[in-house]
Amino acid sequence: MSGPSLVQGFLGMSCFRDFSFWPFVAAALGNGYFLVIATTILTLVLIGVCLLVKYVPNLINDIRNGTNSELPDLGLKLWVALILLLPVFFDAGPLWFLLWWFLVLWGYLNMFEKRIVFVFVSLIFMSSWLALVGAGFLTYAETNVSREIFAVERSIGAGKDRAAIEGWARTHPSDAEPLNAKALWEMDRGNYGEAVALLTRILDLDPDNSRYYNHLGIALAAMGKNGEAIKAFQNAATLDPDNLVHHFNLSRIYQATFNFYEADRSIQKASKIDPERVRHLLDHDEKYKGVKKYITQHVPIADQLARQMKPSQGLKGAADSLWHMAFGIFERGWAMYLSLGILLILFLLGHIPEEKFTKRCNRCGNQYYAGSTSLSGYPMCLQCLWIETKPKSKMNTILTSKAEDIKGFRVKNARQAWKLELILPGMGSFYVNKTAQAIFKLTVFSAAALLIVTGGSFIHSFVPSTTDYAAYARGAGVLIAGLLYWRTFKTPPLKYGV
Amino acid sequence: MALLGTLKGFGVTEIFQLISQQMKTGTLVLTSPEATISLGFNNGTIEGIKSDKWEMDPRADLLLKAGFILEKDLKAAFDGEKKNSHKWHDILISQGKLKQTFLDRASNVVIRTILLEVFQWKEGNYKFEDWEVDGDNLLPCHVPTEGVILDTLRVIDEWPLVKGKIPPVDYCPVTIMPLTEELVKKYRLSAVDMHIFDLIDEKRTVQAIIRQSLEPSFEALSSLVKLIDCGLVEVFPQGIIETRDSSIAKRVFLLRVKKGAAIALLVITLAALAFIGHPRIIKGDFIPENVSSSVRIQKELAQDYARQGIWLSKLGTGTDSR
Repeated sequence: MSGPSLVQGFLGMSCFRDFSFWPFVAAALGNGYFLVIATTILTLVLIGVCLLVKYVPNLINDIRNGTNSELPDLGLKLWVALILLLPVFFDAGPLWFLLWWFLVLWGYLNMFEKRIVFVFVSLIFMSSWLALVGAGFLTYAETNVSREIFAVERSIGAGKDRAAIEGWARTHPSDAEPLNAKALWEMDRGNYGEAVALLTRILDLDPDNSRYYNHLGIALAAMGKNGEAIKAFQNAATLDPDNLVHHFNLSRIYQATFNFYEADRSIQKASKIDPERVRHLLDHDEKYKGVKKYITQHVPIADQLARQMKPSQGLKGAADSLWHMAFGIFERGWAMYLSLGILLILFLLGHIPEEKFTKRCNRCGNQYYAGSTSLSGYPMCLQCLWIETKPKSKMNTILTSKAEDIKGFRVKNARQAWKLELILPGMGSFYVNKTAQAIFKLTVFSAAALLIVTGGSFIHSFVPSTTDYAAYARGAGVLIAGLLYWRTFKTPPLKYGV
Repeated sequence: MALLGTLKGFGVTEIFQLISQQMKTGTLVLTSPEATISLGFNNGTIEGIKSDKWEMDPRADLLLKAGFILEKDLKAAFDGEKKNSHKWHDILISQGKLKQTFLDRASNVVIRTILLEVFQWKEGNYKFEDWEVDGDNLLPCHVPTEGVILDTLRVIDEWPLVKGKIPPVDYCPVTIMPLTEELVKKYRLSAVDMHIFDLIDEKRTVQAIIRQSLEPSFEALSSLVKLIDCGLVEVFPQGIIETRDSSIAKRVFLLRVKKGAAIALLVITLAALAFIGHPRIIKGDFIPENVSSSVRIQKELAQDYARQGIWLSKLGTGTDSR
C-alpha cells in the first residue's frame, strides 16, 4: 500500500474519525488532562508515604530524645501517628496530608527532597488555574449551550436543546454562535426569512466570520434571492479563500442561475484545495439531486474548545469543587496565599538548627546530628565525608575497619531497599536516596494504577463512540505496571556490596 | 621543608590527613587565640603532644583529681624528678603508688581531649617543620592519626544530642536497678557504659564519676546520658541521700502519671479534634456532588444517544448538506 492510501486507510478507521468531533476531542483532552493531574497528585502522595517510611524512625527517635525517653513506646507511636494524621480531623483532601507531612519532616529532608516540596508549593500556587482548566473539561457538556449548539447543528437536537439555545440567546444577545445554531434550525424548519434576519444580526456582531456569510448565502438562495446569495458566498470566499465549502456553494448557486462558466471556475478553485473531498461532495450531490445541495459548516473544534473554557458560574463552581476535592479546608481563592504562607513557614523552619534533627548517613547508616552533606547533596556523617576524600591506595587498617562497617550497612540497606521496592516501586529508591529514579518509578506506577482503575475515563463523550478506549487504556496500564515490576525485580535500587 | 598557613584556608583535619598520608616526621605547631599546641609526628603517627596552657603534666592533675594518687606522693615525685633524671610517674610506679594502666588511660584522656579541642578550631595558624621530634618536651603517646580523626569526627557528630542532656555536674547519679545480662543486651551497653554504671555509688557526683572513669569526657558523658535515657540511672542534687528513696518513689509515681497523662492527652486531643474539626472521613464527601453530577450527565446523554442509535461514527464531520 502506498503512503497516502495508508494514511487514508487509517483516517477511515473510526478511532481516528472520532477525533473530528468536539465531544470526543474534549473528552480525550479532558481525560488526558485529568490523567496528568491525577498522576501528579498520586505520585506526590506516594512520595509523601515514601518519606514517612524513610524518616518516621528519625522523628520517633527525636521525640524520644526530646521527652527523655519518658513516654512509653506505644504512647510515643500513637502520638506520632496522631501528628501525622492530624489533617484527618479536618475537611482535608489528600494534598493537605502531603503538605502536612512535608512540613513535619522538613528538617529531615535532603536537598533533592526539599526541591520536590518547592515544586509542590509552586503547584499549589497554580492550583486555582489548574482547577479552572479541569472544570472547563469537566463541564464541557453543560456550559455556554455548547452541547446544544453541537446537537442542533447536526440535527440531533431535541426540543429542550432548542429551548436552551433560545433562552441563552435571550440572556446573551451578543453571543453569535447560539444565534447561528438557531438560524440553522429555522432553515431546517423552512423559516428562511427568520434565518436571514438572525444571520444578518449575527454578522453585525461578528462581521469577519465566513461561516455566517456561508449560512446567510444558503438561506438567501432558499428564498430565491440568488443575487444576494452570490454576494454572501463571495464574501465568505473572500474572508476564507482556502475553504472549499465556500467555492463549492458558489458553484452550486451559479449552476442554479445557469452561469455555468462561473460554476465551473468555482468548482475548479474548490478542487485545487481538496480534489478528493470535492469529488465526494459531487457524488453526494448527484445521489441526492435537488434535495440538499448546499453545504453548511459546523462550529470548528478549536472554537468549541475555547467556548467550553469561557468562565461561567457553572465552571467556577466546578473549579471550586475540584480544588476542594484535592485540598479542602480553604476556598480555591486562597490557593495563592496558601502557597506564600507555606513558603514563609518553610523559611522559618529553615532556621531551626540542623543538629536538632537526627540524620542517617548515606554511606554507613550511622545516626548523627552534626554531620554534613556529600558532594552529591546527601546526608553524610563526618567520618564518611572524610573517608570519601581519601584515595583507596591510602586506606590502612583503621580505615578498612570503617570501610567494613560501610560495606555491612550497604548489604543490609540493599536488602531493605529491594524489599521496599517490591512493595511499591520507587519506595526502595527513595530509601537509598536515589530520588530521581524513585520519582520516575512512582510516576510510572501512579499512571499505570490510574489507567487500570479508571481506564483513563474521568469524563465521557456525551455522544457515544463505538470503540471502547477504556479497555485499551486498562490494557496499557497492566502492561506498564507489569514492565515496571519486572524491571524492579531485575534491577534492585542498590546492588549488594557495591 | 616547612609547611605553614592559616586554619581558615586549610582545616585541621586536612593538615592531619596530609601528614598521615605522606607519613611525615616532624613537629606541627597549631596556634589559635585560645592556645598553642605542638604535636610530634613520626611516620605520620602522633608520638607526642604539648600545650602552652599546661603548667604541669596534665596527667598528674587528672590522676590527682580522680583520686588515683595522693597530693603528697605527687609532690614527692616531682621533687624526685628535679633531683634525678626519673620522671614523676616512673617514680610513683616504681614505688607502687600508681599503676601503669591508669597512667596510660590518663594519657589517652589528655590526648583525646586536646585533639577534640584542636579539631574544632576555626581560626589560627599552623606550621609544620619536618625535623626530628624533640620527645623530651612532649607528652609521649602513640596514636594513629586516622583513628584520632575518625574518633573526633564521631564525637562532633554526636555531641549535639549528648550536650542537651548532660545533668548538672554536682548532682549524684543513683542506680535504679542492678545491671543484668539481659539489660546489657537489651540496651546494647558498651564496656564504657558498664564502667560508668559500676562507678555509681550514690556518693560520687557526675563530675567525680567522669574523672574517676579515666575516660574522655565525651565518652563518659555519653554513657551517663545513655544510662539515664535507658532508665537505669537517675540523678539527684548532692547532699540529700536520706531523701532519695522517697524521691525515687516520687519519680516513679510521677513517671506513671506522665505516662497516663500522655495517653489521656492523646485521647482528649483526638476527641477535641473530632469535635472541632469537620472530618471528611465522617462526612464522606470525597467527590463533590457537582463533580459527580457532571460526569453522570455526560454518561446519561451518551446512553440516550446510544438508545436513539446516534453514534459519533454516524455524524457528519465538519459539514452537513442542506
